[in-house]
Amino acid sequence: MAPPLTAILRQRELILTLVAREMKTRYRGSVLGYFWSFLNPLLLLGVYTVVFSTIFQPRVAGVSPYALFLFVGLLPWTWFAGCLTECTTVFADNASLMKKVPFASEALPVVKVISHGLHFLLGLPVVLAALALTGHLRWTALLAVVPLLLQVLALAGLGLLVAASSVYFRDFKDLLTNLLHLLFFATPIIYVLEMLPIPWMRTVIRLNPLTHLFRLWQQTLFFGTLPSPGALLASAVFALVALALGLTAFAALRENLAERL
Amino acid sequence: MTAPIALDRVSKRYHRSAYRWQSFKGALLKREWRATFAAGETFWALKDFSLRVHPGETLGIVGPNGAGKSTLLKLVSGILRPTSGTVTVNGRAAALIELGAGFHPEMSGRENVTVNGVLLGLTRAEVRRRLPEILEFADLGGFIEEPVKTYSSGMQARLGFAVAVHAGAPILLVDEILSVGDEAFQRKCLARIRRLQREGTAILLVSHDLDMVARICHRAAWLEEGALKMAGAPDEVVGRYRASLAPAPPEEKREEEVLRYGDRRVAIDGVALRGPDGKETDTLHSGADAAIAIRYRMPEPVADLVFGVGLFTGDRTPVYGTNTAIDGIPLGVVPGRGEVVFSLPGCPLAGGTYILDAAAHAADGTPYDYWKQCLAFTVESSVADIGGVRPPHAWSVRALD
Repeated sequence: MAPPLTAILRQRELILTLVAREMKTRYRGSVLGYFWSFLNPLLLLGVYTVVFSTIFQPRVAGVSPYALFLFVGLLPWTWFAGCLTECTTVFADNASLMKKVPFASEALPVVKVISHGLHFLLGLPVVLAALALTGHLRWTALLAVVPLLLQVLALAGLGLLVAASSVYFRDFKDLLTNLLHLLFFATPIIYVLEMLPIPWMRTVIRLNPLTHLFRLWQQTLFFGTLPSPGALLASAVFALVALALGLTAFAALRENLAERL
Repeated sequence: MTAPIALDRVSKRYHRSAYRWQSFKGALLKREWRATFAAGETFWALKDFSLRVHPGETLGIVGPNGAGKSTLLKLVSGILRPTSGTVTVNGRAAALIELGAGFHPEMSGRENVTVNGVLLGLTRAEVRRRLPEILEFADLGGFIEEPVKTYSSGMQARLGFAVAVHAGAPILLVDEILSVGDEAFQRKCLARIRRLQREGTAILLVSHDLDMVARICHRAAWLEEGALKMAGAPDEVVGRYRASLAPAPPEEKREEEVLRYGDRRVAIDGVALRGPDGKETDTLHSGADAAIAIRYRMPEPVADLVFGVGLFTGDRTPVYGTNTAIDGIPLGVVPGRGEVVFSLPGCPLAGGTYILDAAAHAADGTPYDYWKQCLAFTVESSVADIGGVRPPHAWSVRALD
């Protein structure tokens, strides 16, 4: 597992250059450019606020305003799901690079993790402003750096795993799309764990490692509390296991990636 | 000193179908696990192949399509792993395996230079430092700010080559890149390759341009069906390879009827190009003495024999043609074998590729042996002037006030 990790660290220059390329090309030709990264979440938050304060009025104990709670989970989820979805095709999309240019291919999924992370960061001020406006902003928001870091590690591992597996197994893309749908509802993002009526359901949801990672986001940003030790531990273990798994899988599969594309 | 590139008994096997279990359907529903895991159809792109490139050496790889040349280059670059055997590369290798590979079509040439340079192992700071030199070499003018998708293949080749040769890698891997791009750029590339050679860069070059292999490589290897057929002096290897490519006899005859005709009462046995030292060559230098020697055979005496030569550029544009009758040269030839030499003191040709026609015919034009395109050669020039003939010329300037 060590070689790919050191390779990733050695490829800083390449990764940063490719991230810059991705950021540049994403909004090339659009009038508002980077502003979209900021505008998209703002508009989304606006829609949620209207929907959940007028059309539905979900009553979730201790969660108000609901739209903001939802949003605090949704933004990192968009990063998580968007990144992994793009990782399924990242090697195929760069087939000419993979087949014709010798380079450390682990850079490509890592670039996806970082570029999607940057979009998340561009949307974060919207959340922070909304939190401040509704009086939810606490100093614990600074601790959001903890889930941020853990999510980077977890995504790097899962991204490598997903990207390499997708080359060998074309069905992976559709499989993952559905898995992500399932995971979205299996993670307390639109609800809180405690409101689940059946005890075994709560147990099942607790077994989902993302539950704990997203709890960290919600605790530090929305509830303004310290990260709970249980969630912290579970998320850290999840991130490290995911990373180790991804690096190991990639080391095993990388050999024939260019050939299989 | 260790060899920059060493391949030791390298074999590479490909699976004909790239995906062994591409989908669930096959794997689960049809229960094709066993079938797909059984050794499917495979073929060996390279088999038990050993090769060494020495420091500062340029090794040219020739061979027909599918011989394993590109596989070889990809193995050396690390894109592919060998099925067995070892590939050792000592030092950073800059690979130019396909034109435009790694270019992002939406980004400008300048932006792509940065990404490409980093892919070749430079840091961004190094790319920035070398940028002026790279841009000057690519010579794309204002196009450098345009997205690469607007570039012609020649322009992409220029940009790609410019980055690769400025990557400062001690090893350069080049696959068939120089065949794109115009004559002037090709000459620039060759000059640059010569400079890299002087600087001690080890170069592995795959090309179908046999003349170029013969001209710039120190050694050549001929690859056929994944195995080394022959290695050695480039002109020797290229000559033997070219001979193996000669079309089968009946085809050759048809070709000959078009390109060569006459009753052969005087037959041309061969045409040779000679440099200033009188030795046979396939490359002339602008300004240096040159000669074209036509060896002939004349069993019986013929009346009013005329020898002629015609020079054309690579696209068959006439450059100059003359014969012994036009020039009023009396030919006191006797039956037997002989040689007619057309001398070009201080070869007044501009740099480029030329094609030669040679002929022996009667004064009324009746051909004895009219041989079109009997010779192709290159003129190298240190001056970047253009055209075919370089007439004696001078410039002068004076003020008119």
